[in-house]
Amino acid sequence: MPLLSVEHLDVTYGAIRAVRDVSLSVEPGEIVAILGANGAGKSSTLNAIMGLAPKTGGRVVFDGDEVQGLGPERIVRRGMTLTPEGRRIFPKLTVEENLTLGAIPLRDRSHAAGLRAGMFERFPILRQRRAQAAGTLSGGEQQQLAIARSLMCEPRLLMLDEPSLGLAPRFVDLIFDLLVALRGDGVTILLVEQNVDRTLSIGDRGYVLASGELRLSGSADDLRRSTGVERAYLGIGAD
Amino acid sequence: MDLVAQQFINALSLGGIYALLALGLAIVFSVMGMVNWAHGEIMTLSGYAMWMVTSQLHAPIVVTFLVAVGTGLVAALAMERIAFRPVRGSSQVTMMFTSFALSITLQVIFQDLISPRPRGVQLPAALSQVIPVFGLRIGIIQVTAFILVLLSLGLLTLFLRRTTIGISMRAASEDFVVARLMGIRADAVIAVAFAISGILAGVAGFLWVAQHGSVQPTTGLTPVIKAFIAAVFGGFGSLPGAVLGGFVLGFIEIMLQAWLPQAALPYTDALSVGIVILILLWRPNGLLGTVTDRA
Amino acid sequence: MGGRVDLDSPWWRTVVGSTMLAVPLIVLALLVELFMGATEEQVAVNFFISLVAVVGFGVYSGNSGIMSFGHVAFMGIGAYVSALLTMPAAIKATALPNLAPWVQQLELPFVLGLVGVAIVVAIVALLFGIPFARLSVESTSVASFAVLLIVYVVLVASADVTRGSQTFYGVPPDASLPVVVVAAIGAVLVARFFRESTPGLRLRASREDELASRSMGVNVPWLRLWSWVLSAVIAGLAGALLGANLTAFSPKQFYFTLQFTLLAMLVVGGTSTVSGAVGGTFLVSLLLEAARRIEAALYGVVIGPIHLQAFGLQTLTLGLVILVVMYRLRDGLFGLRELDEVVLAWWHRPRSTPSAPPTTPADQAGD
Repeated sequence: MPLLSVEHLDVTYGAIRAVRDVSLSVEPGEIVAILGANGAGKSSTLNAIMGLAPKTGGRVVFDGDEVQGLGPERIVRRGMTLTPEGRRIFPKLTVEENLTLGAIPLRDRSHAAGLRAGMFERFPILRQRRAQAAGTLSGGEQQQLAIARSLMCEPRLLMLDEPSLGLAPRFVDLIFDLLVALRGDGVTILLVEQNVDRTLSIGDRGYVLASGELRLSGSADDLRRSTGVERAYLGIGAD
Repeated sequence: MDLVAQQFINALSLGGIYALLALGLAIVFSVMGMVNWAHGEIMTLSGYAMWMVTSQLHAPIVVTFLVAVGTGLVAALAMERIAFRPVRGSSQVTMMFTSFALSITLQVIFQDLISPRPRGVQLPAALSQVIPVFGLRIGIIQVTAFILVLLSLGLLTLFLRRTTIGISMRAASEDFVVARLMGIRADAVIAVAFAISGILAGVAGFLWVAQHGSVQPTTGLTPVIKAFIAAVFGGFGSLPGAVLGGFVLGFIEIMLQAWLPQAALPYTDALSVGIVILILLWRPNGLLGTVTDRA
Repeated sequence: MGGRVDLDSPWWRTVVGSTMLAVPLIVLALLVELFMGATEEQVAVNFFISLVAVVGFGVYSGNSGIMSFGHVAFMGIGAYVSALLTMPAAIKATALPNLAPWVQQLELPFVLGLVGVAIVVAIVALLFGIPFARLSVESTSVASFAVLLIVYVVLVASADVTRGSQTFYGVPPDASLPVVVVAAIGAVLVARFFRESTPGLRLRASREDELASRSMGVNVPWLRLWSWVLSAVIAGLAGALLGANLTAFSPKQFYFTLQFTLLAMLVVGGTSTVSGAVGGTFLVSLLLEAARRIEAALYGVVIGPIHLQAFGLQTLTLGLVILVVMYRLRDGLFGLRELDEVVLAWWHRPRSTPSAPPTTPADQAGD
């Protein structure tokens, strides 16, 4: 049984239909990528799954239960979370406070301190900056914080929206290495990315959206092989 | 020198009341984007509760204080649940009008059910005494006010820094959407914001009514307008700004009262508020405000 | 098709829109004049004066999207300034013995008094408007209360000029029904023309998206300032009319209660259109008059322990009306479109080809 399955999803903002009849599924332990050009409806899809975007049609089933109609604050308690586009850490709160908030969805918060210590181990820079206002961190550091904050609720499914966007190359490497390591730890990942090559090199499967509709899907290898067609299709030159 | 020191205490006491009110307004605004005009009626309700327990039950002062604070808390929570939840998330104009209409409606209800005239609130004579300290004559009520204000601010700071719900509130005021993504429930955060604003208004109501000795339907009106102006002055939505704005407005007002010529005294309120507006000309975002667009 | 270009010019829209509002107003005034008694005439005069004020508020609030809670202060200034300029010198000598001699000697005709009001109110509005124009939207709303507070305090404190909180009396009764009807139609014309003019359009665009407007080079603070001053002047004129209708008043009459009443009228009809201001004022005036009559009928009635006196039924009505509108119809009864725009859209619909969607003016599409 898939961990997440999305069936015939529609997302409408006012008169604008951002996503039309998109279906996808994520099996436990996979890294699945959603690819596509700007405005293809990738972020809208993630937001709708998480209860943040106005979903006008379709079903979202997580771990056997329908989650549509629940707000994000309840969906996150079911065990999936989203690291939003642009990181959106709380800039005036300290690094430590940002992490503390990440643990709110946990049913039992007694081991939150232990989890936080684990995050400091995984992201040593955050330990150094723990008492600093999060807004003073560099972009790459903020992205690490945003992911660490998402991990604080021990999600079974982690969704990430453009985690490498605007980062220096060494941070891009760090983020992709991290995703692979997380899969090793048993976290399932659904990823929206513009960096097609890197994403397909670590991913298991992928879906390609264009103008809000699903155009292609398949294993990462298959998608990579069709890359000539793909690049034109996605409107991407060199990444 | 004596006079200066005494006026200083008076200014701290009055400014403290404005600060508590402004802080309550700013907390609600920061998480909900709502300008709550009915904040003054929370204060008035606390005053009426004080009147009831002192005139009917001759309650001791500590009980009176607790009743005032408790009333503020309950009134604010009830307001949020009954009147404001239907307009949550709508435009600021809608929320502002709703609270404005509620404010006026409550004033009429006080007038009809209690009385249009002031009701005297008798507090122990000890409160209005003056104690000599190093040759200064210091009013007990002013000192009490300042201590209560400091205590409230201190406890609130601890709450916002040390508890998860406090940190959640600060997060919600920065980015409500992502706060929900962290599992923070909007209902809880907004209810807590109103609870805090109610407690602060209760403390402010207690101090105000204790100093004025009476309560009437419009008791909350003037202090809350000034608190609003203080909040704008400090930087709307900024909590330290609200506190600072409240104290500065209190200082301006007391200094004007002390040093204006007799003939100009009736103009005190106009001048103090006018000075604040002039300062806004120089700092449009308030003393501690940053350019923020809540969108 | 040449006609369509004309239809969209600000002048044409102003004329059509204002006429559609003016005709029923004139009919109403004629009906009252011809068929009704003095009480109804008084109600009608009040309605037209309120209309001037509410339309005036709308010039600022409706176009900029910023609610002002301070405009009644300008009405207060208008009432006192007009009275001081037009009152008989003899009455001034007894009522205001400490008045400066040159003011005491003045006995201007009402129209010149209104000119004086416009000048004084414009200056005061500028003084407040300059700092306000740079504040954020919500800060401006909050700060506008300061205008109400400051002007009220000054009116009460300046006893030599205003008799302080005591009743100011002896104002010439210049606000007859024809005068207020002309004033109301004039206010509608000005408000409508401002709304359709380029600055008005830009201001309305800034209401929808301030950042976008600024980035297109629109000087939003400047537009806000001028609409603030224009709307304050209209409110000041309404205040002069109100003063001339009351003939005796005190600063309290230009404070919260009036502000609240007039805002209710603006909100009920919908803040963003002139039609809404007119419709809302009419409806709320009717409701208030009904409440007043009920209250008068019930005065002194004893129900059990409750002895009914002035129990604020009018204020309660206003409060509830606002709450109902806020909970149920956010944009007011008239929504976001002017009466003539609704009528024209309806008129054009059957002429367009059946497959085309109904035309809606693009500038009204904001949600």
